[in-house]
Amino acid sequence: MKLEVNSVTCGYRRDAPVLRDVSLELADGDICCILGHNGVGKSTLFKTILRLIPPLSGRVLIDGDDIARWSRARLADSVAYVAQSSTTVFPYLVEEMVMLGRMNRVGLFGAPGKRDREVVDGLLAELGLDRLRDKPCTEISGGERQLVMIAQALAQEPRVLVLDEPTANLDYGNKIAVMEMIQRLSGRGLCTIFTTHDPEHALLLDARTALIIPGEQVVFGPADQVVTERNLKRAYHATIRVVEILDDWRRPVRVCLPLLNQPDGGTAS
Amino acid sequence: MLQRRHRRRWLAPALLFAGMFLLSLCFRTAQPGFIPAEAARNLWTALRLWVAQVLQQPLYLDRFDIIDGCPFYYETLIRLRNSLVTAGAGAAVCLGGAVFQTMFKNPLASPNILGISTGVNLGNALFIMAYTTQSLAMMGRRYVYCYACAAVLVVLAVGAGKLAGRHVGRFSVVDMLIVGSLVSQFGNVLALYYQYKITEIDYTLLTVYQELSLGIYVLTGLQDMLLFAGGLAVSLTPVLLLRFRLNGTALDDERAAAMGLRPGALRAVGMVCGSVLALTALIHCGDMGILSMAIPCVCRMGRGADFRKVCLWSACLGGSILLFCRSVCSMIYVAGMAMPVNFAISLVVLPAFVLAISKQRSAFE
Amino acid sequence: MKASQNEEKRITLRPGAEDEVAREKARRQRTRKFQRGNLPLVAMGVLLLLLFFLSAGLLVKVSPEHFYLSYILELSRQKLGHLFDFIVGRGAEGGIQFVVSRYVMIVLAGAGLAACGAVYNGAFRNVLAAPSTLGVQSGGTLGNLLYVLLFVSPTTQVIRYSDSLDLAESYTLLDRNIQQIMVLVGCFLAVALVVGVATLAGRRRVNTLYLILAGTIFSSLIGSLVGLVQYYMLEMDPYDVRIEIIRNLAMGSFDRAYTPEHLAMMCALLLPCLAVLTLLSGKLDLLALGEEAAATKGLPVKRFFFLVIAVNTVMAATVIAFCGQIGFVGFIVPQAARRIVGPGFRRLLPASMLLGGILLILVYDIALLTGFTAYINLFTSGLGSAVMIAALLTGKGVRRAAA
Repeated sequence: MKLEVNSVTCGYRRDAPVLRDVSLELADGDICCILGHNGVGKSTLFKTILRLIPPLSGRVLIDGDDIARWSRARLADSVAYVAQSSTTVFPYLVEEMVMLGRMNRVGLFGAPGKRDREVVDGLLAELGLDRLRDKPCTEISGGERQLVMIAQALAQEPRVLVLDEPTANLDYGNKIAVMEMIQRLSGRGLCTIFTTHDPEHALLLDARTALIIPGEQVVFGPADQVVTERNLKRAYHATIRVVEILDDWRRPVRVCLPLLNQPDGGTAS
Repeated sequence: MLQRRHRRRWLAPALLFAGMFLLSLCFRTAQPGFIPAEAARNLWTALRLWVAQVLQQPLYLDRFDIIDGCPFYYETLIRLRNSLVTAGAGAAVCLGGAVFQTMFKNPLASPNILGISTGVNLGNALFIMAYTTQSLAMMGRRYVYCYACAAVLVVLAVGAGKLAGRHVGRFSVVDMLIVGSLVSQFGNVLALYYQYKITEIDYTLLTVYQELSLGIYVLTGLQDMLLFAGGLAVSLTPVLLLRFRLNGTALDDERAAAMGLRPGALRAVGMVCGSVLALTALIHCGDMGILSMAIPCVCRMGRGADFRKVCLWSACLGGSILLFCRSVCSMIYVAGMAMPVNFAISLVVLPAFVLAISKQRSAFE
Repeated sequence: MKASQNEEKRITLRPGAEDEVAREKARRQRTRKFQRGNLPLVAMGVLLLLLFFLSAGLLVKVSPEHFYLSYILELSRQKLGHLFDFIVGRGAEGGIQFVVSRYVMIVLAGAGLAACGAVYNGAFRNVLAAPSTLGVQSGGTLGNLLYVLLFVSPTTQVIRYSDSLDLAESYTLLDRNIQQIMVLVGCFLAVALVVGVATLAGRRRVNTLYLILAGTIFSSLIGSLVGLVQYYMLEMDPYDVRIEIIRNLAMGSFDRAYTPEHLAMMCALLLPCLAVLTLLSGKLDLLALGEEAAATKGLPVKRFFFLVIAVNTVMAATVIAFCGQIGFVGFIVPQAARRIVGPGFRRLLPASMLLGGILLILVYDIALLTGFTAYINLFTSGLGSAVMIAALLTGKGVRRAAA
């Protein structure tokens, strides 16, 4: 499977495009990380990929087929989406919540059957949500809820998983858990795209990284080439060191280190 | 094991519903009285006579003697029709409430906020204004008035939601709710005005109006029953068929769209079906107060929010509670008339509602 | 005056080197802005006075000889005497009596309801929060119902106050106003109940949602109770005229209580409340920021909230007791006032009061011309819905207008 974003310009109004001329190309098992500061248009790009808003120009192709002509249901079979903050006021049980992801697999008038329940049971076991199965979603922690939402998206059995800031509002441990899961999913051949505010995540997952800098071409490439001190300074207007350390297996790992009150300040670019 | 848990899910509410229905049959209609044995015999007799009539058995020829031997025979038959309408109305109005709450992502929404019960009241008042003293003979026209008034109010509210959302490009639920509640308040005042205007024509007409809007007598003529069944069938079928899909409207629109749903279309179907469900119930059974708001809320608190469960439980529970209230009310006679069911509903539903909310605080905070 | 002092204090608190010049400049700017901002208020005041005199002097037929303003303006001793009679309401026979006190009451009612609406909008941060939210109206209805059941015998013909002035004078003050007192008490008890239940449910914290929920439930309960009583009253005697008393309260009219005596009672209840709210207007701004933000700025939120609710309840209850239910004033007026003078309570509150007065005078005049003075609620509700839909049509959503 191949997902291509072909020189897409996206935005809500034709006279004020948010992002111009973005091109990405991803295959099965790829992890793609999109970086950029607040309001630069990361979510807009996602909405265009998910066809929630039409691209102003350019095309989004899956296996060489333009998704503009696809039906919603067909698109949902291929691409699943985890929104940044999806809260519902209703006390859906965790199991029910995950089951909602099967919506595209059961027919219009259908209800979940035996196979759907098997898929959901499998997902709950895989993500370690088994013990929460009968708890209302309104009563579990933020990290658990994020996992539930990911499970819901996975229940669609997609080939591309799109996550909008999956680690926002999570504590350190949960952030790591979510990232480990993304890595595991990519190992199973799922193509994953996510946004984050932490350039480190791109380095840790060794993801193909798209760095959005306002007014410039999107920088796209392997993480260690894109996440550099110079690029980060241009994107975030701040001084960020990229340092290499060794992990427990004595493999080199790069991390980002923000520095405060540097002589050249944050404004120069 | 999964299968068994799945199968048993509908048993408890269905049993409750059936029990309440049977209990409701055991009361007399014209006077207070609890007559389970006679009611059972009357129903058996009615069934036998009906079979005899269909199969043209000689038993049917003796029907007058047989019926003479059964005390309260006709009362029981009326009670049967009465209970059927009551059970249907209670189930329908609560199902409507469940649909609306899911659609508006608000656990306290009810069909009334779009002006449906107001529309019915206004329709009743206008109908009596138009036909004055002949209104009792022209009951068929009442449906036209009620449906028209409710349709106008709902269209106003929904149109407002559309208009307000036109720059954002999506439907504005909040604006619709605000306009709905304002328009229905205005409709209420208007209905009140006509209600008193009626007294200027004839004082007794006010009694007719009140009996209609409080649902003192459930209309059980053949035409009424057919209309009722028709309304229910039209609106109930899509809701039941889409019972899993409708869950999608409880999520964010974007999430639902990414799941392969069309939230706009689903909401439109839900809105129409929910409105018709509530309307049918309110027209045939009178005002039911907070039943449509409280019952789905209580069910959701108790059984989880999956619409498949909520719709099953709220329909059964709503029908049962309405039947129960009617049974109780038909034992309480003041001034020669059975007590209106409206107030009894409030008394029965309130404690459960308050309990459910105080138990599930976290959902609100 | 007080406001500009506040500004000065805030500015001196701000650290920095550019004090003197900036302070002077800012102050000048503030004062200029302050004056310009006051312009709409002055215009509203003038409009209100103008309307008042026009309506009282021109529109209303006071006596059989059509007591016009021009007639009053030609001063002579005899006419001054007439004027005095006119003001105290004596010289009117055959026409509408007590014109001046009636119009003053109308203005007061409008001001009270509008102020109530504005304050509740801010305190609950919700456009729909109106006096009725906490069950004031239902409480009034309940009080009225009890009055009807306890004090009015079914055989009494309900007579208008104007027809029974002589009769009324033979009663004591208490006897004459027992209905108003019952309604007032009903309103107070209802709000106390709703707020009490909501506070208990919210574990001793003021929770807006519980307040609104408890209010709604209480209203629906009372609604069905009133329906029940009305039903039995009619069932026992279809010609029971006591229904009319319930009707009068529900439809709102200024033809029930309008003598100077009523006016004095209404003033005694309403004016202190309006004064308190005006004094508190700075704090109300804080409350509109949200409970937590207000608490961190040093406001004892809970106590303040209860104070605001108490004051508002007294105002709404007074209006209900004397004029019946008049819906939507508390909704339309703050909305309109906010568009004219902005969301700051220092100006919003007086502007709402003035606009409320203007609106009710207009409504009463229209009702008078069309002969529907017994259905004020109908007019205000219709107007409210129309304004609402117009607000949506002009493109700004309701929420954004209120935010």
